Amino acid sequence: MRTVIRWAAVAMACAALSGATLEKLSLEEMAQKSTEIVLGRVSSINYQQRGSVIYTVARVQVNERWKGNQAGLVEVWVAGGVSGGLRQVFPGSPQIREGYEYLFFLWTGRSGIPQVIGLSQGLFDLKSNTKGQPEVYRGASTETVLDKGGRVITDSELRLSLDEMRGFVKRVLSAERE
Amino acid sequence: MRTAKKLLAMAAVWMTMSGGAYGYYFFVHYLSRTGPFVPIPEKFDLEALHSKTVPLLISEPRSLGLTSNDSFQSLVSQIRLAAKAWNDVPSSDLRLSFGGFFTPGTTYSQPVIEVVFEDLPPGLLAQGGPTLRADLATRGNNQFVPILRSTVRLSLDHTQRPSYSEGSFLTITHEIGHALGLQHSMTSSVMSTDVTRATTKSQPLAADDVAGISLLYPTPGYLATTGSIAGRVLLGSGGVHLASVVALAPDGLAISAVSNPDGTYRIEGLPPGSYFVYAHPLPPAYNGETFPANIIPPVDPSNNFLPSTVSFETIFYPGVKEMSQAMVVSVQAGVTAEGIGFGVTRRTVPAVYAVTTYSFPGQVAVKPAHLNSSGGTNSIVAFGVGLNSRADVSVIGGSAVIPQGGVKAYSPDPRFVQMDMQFTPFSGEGARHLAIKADNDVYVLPAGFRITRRTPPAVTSVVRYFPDAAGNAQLVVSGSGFAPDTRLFFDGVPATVVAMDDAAGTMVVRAPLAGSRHKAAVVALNRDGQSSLFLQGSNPAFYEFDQVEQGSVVFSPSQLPAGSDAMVEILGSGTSFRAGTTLAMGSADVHIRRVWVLGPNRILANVVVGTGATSGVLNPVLLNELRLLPAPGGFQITPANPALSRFIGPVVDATTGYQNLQVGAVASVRVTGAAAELTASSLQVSVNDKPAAVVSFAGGLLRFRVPADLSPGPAVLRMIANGDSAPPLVMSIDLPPPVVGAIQVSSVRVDGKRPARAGEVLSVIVSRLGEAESYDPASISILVGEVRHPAVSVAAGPNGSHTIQFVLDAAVGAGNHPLSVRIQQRTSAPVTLAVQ
Repeated sequence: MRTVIRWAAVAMACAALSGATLEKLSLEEMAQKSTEIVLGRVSSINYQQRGSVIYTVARVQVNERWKGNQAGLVEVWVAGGVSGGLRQVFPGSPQIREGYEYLFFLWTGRSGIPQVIGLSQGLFDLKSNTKGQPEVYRGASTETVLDKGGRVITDSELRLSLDEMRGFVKRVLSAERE
Repeated sequence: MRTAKKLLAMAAVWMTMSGGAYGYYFFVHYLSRTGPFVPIPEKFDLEALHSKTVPLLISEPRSLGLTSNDSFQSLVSQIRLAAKAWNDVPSSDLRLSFGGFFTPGTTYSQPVIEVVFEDLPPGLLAQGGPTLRADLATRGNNQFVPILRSTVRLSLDHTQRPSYSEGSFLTITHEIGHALGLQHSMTSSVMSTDVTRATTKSQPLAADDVAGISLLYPTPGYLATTGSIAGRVLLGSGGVHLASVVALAPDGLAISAVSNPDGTYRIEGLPPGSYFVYAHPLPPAYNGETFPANIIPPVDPSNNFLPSTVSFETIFYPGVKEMSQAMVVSVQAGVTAEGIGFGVTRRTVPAVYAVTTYSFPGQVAVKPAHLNSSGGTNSIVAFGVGLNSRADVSVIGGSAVIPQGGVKAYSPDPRFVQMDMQFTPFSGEGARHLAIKADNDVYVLPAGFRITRRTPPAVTSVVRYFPDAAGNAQLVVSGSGFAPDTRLFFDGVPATVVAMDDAAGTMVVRAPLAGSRHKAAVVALNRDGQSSLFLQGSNPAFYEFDQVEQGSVVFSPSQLPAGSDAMVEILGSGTSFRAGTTLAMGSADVHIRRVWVLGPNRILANVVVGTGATSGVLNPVLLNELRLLPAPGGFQITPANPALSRFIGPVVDATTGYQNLQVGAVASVRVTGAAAELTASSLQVSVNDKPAAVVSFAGGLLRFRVPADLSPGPAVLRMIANGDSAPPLVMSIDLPPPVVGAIQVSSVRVDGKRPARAGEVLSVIVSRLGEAESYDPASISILVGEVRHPAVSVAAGPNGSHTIQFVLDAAVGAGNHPLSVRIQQRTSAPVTLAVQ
């Protein structure tokens, strides 16, 4: 009983007392909360200003789509960039590079701007492992905390083969539909 | 010749010391990619700001996701409270003011901090920092990149983090810190990321935060009252860039700096004392983040980053890994302890980092861990990258001990580590640091836990009480864990405590003003850092205010041209203005120099409209504590009229420069427009319609004598120049300054034989405090040396005297210090306070 109470307490603390700028999301949560999940290559980078914020807008040629509509091209908006001779840098914003291939967990809200979920949590590099097989990679977290269930979210780099990630997301989305 | 060389060398040293903002870590620029490296920070240009004040404007979202008892008004009050935390740092010259509500995308001619609500994706709660900069500026020996605009982005969704929560408040405070020019710190301060942050709503800023803001915007004399530690971090013969170097006092204070590309560092802003010093690498970058610790590296003139070089093993001065072998470095005011160097060993990744600690005073896990040394559970639970039960953990400073076998796997989940503590009879209150050894590396967690001597407070009920003699509503608040230092907040507004029975767990407070049927979370904060949220988590007490008339206001004049500095009178209907009422115009181009509340329905304000202000209609708002009174379209900026004769305030005492003027004194104020070309004989000056003799008028500076028969309070200064009336300006006629008599502790006079001690409650007997029947302690401060103390209580005494009590801060060192009492703008002549 004592254990149950304490875990419940930790979970409450995350909601009530955490001061994170980033709230950690598990892979499962990212898959569920994303509006689009795509694997694609950044074909161009542009900048746009909305209100007082300059956004970097990456146009991504979709190679695989795991969630969302069927568009072959998506835009990914990240706060910070260059416009009219002004350069804005927001701490924590991920850097997306032209010509690189990524796995994106994207979220589009009422503003209509597609953004990487969790600022940088939903951005995975696509690389080849030592056997030449594709894998998705995300570095170790400096901000590891507990998830809403009181469990530890990954505390080391996240490296999965593309097949494993694809399978995981598929299972989560299938379970969601059920 | 030798003397000349020495002078040149000293001058060089001085220029180096004053030329850049060292210490801490800011958004840094270098003039080249090769040394010597003089960090040039981004900061607000105090000379470009009215009254050194940067306005903070908040956008009004169309829809906001909130919990059932939460509201936008509640959130605004918390944002203002977070800004106040930075505004109240006495050693910082930068002030923040609430500028009202605005439409994102509006441009201003004045620097500004914008708080905007945006559709942030899940997992991203907030973001902030400078978003618009000017070209490199030079002020004296200081070079900096002026911030023209900073932006704080908050999520539209607050359903998971109500406005009253510690997490929401500290995140906003953190983001405003970024907006002011501060980067992340590794000292568990509010500018640390949430994982290690050890500040609370009760004490939102840590010493490193105070040093950071004070080094960026120092008050005169700040650097002379603090010392520095300087040296170099080397890997072999090469400098290590972006190494974090921390000065750690065993009593809880930690202040840091980050090294330059050549490995040189300088920790500034250190109160005199003894410090352990250690160098450690920044924790690795989170994926997607480009930089370690999410710190943006410095840039060269082409805006190319100078990234960090290597990671390494943490090391203490003088080059040891064992705390027991570390030497302390003595720091004196105004002096730099040079040559505190580190030779480090490369290591790919730190063995342990990003450690979070928790304690369980009730059913809520509290982060950071708070342990009550007077009773309760003496264990904390920790989680961190690389941390396991085999780690060798110790408490730095010896105020608590982890016994043999005291570090163990936490039984509910062995991935967590439980640390048992034993306290000594000498374990004082406050933050304590942890040293964690693992895998031939050491990780230091500043303020890893806090020692308290009491249980956290709790608020169980808030009920209506009889109104006070002036008709103000009063409330009875019941709960537990109350202490004389307990503060009670209704959302982000502190309530004035009228009476307290801490043994019975009740207090009577004056109810803040609030909007009709407004629901406010009622949270008690103790000065030991604890909050009623430690026990009540997401279920705090709420109080619903009565229904009140909305009220309305009229501005007179309702428009001013750009470049004005003039009085505006605000007449209200159904309003209940109180001292402290805030006027905000909803534009960064309009600065409210001062507000005088003359009654529940009348306000006078001196309003400055910037010369570059854009013409248009504004939406002012008046804030009475929790009550927002909008006046949409109530004021307008018209095009500049350079020929208009007008004052440029403030009106000051020509001798002292103070804005509190006494009758008979000579006052001065600047005059511009057509009147500036006239002579003194062409000017007719009056104060409250009483003629004021012009003493001199030259170079646009008007000096006049304040008429003798004026009462204390605001008075309207008018001028007729060649038949044309200038817009009037308000000046403040004040009582003579207060006079400090005796200083006592427990009725014993404090002097050289019985000096004061840190932590003691001192009573200052003051005459001529003023004419009010009672005083809000918040309106009075006691300055001891450079340290400002809030008054804890004010009580009337015999013959018109008053006794003001305050708690002597530990930051005041031993010796004789000048003590003065300040109420509003009246400051007593200093007397000497002996401190042990």
